[in-house]
Amino acid sequence: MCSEEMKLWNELRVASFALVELGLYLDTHCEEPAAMALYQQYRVQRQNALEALNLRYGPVTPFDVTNPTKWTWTCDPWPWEGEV
Amino acid sequence: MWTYERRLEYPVKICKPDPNAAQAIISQLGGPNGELGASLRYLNQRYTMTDRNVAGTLTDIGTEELAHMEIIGAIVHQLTRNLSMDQIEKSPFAAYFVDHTVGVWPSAASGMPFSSATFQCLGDPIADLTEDMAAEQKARVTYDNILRLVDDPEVRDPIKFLREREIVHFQRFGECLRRVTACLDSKNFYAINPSFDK
Repeated sequence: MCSEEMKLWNELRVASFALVELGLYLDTHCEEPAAMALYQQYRVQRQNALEALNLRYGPVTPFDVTNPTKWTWTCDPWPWEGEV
Repeated sequence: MWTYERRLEYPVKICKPDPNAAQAIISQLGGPNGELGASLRYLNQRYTMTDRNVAGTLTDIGTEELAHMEIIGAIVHQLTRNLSMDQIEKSPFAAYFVDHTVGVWPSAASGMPFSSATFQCLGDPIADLTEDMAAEQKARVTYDNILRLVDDPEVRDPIKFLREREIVHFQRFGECLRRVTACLDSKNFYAINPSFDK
């Protein structure tokens, strides 16, 4: 895996974890402005990383294959193989 | 990593409560051929599945089984949420009611609690995929038995969808098994365990 791809996966991981954590908090604090602002910031970050990965590297989910002729979902190592 | 989508894979809208149907259908949540065991079986078999495409199939079907678990939960919930005490008292569902009220708890129709003893992860691709094919057929027969017991079309419709999915999964696992054996010694598929012997 090239360093650019590794960087994008890491950005996805960081933004997604922030969204998980903020989501748990917001589930019981629906109208807190500071948490909502952070949520929107990380939502954009996650979206950007997701779009770049799906366009340039392997799909993130099986609903995201952008290659028009080849099923690329099963091409790359799986996360449990310890390579990502 | 997983995320949740706010939708059922197939819609469930049941108007008429039915404790007997709920008692039968809960088996596909926590019974020996149910969706919870199916999902755990496939998702846990992935680690030792050497073929990357077959590991993908296990991921995708194991994930779909989680969605099926949710459909069964929705069916049981809609069948039980408006039950009267009179309906409960006259049904074998009364025994379940004592311990769980109308909460949705993974058990077999007989009341046996969910157990991972109902499935296997043997760490051998041929053994595991053969188990997976059998599991899909056992789930298909269980849905056939549920369809023998249930008349309400609002209940039968999502059950028929789930039954069809068992047949599709059986087909896909059959292809996975052929894919795995194609990479082994055609004179003796069992000479080695590709997940263990290096």
